[in-house]
Amino acid sequence: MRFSSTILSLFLLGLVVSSPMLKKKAATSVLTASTYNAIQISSGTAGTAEVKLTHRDWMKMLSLGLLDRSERSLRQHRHEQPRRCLGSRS
Amino acid sequence: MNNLAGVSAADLNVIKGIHDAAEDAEVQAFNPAIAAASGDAATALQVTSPSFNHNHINMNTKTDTCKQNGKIKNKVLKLTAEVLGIQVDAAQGGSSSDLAAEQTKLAKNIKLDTAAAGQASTSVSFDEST
Repeated sequence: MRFSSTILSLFLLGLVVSSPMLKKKAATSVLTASTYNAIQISSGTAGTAEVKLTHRDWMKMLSLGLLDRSERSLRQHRHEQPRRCLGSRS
Repeated sequence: MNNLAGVSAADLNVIKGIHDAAEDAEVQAFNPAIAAASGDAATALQVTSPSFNHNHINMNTKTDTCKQNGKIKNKVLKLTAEVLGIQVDAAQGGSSSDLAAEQTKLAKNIKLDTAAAGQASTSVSFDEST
């Protein structure tokens, strides 16, 4: 659980650090509904929330340009740590 | 994350913004949609204890169950951002008095989500700018 939380933290902070758009929104302390729609995890099936927040739907985020600057780190993350991310529940 | 103390104010605002957006979605979109359910379906949708078995809902409530599953997942998103925000605040000298309570809520909703694993989950329309 601790590791899972760490990965989650890294993801959220990675999202924050890598997203100029979100940073721009943050300047006024708001996120638009469209941004919420981009980060929502409710669609799909139940039982995936924790995994989505640790591993995320990376390609979707990429397609939305939210992780544009972290593409290199994303690639590194996916190749080096996928099993650890997916199997990190404890 | 080993350097929560180094998180910028702007980034912390984004983390809190994710929480706020998820909460707005819960209040302004999920809750009305679930409230629109009637009778037994509405009653069933209000049950959120960890022991609740979504499989007990009959086929007529399937759509509402999907929304409830979506709401629970949205809560996981909301509470995850909340917990992280508190942890950053605490690392920067703020209060962490709410941390344990929020972590408990997060764990509860992760458990609910896991208990309904495999069932359909839907998002709801949320088009209001915050």
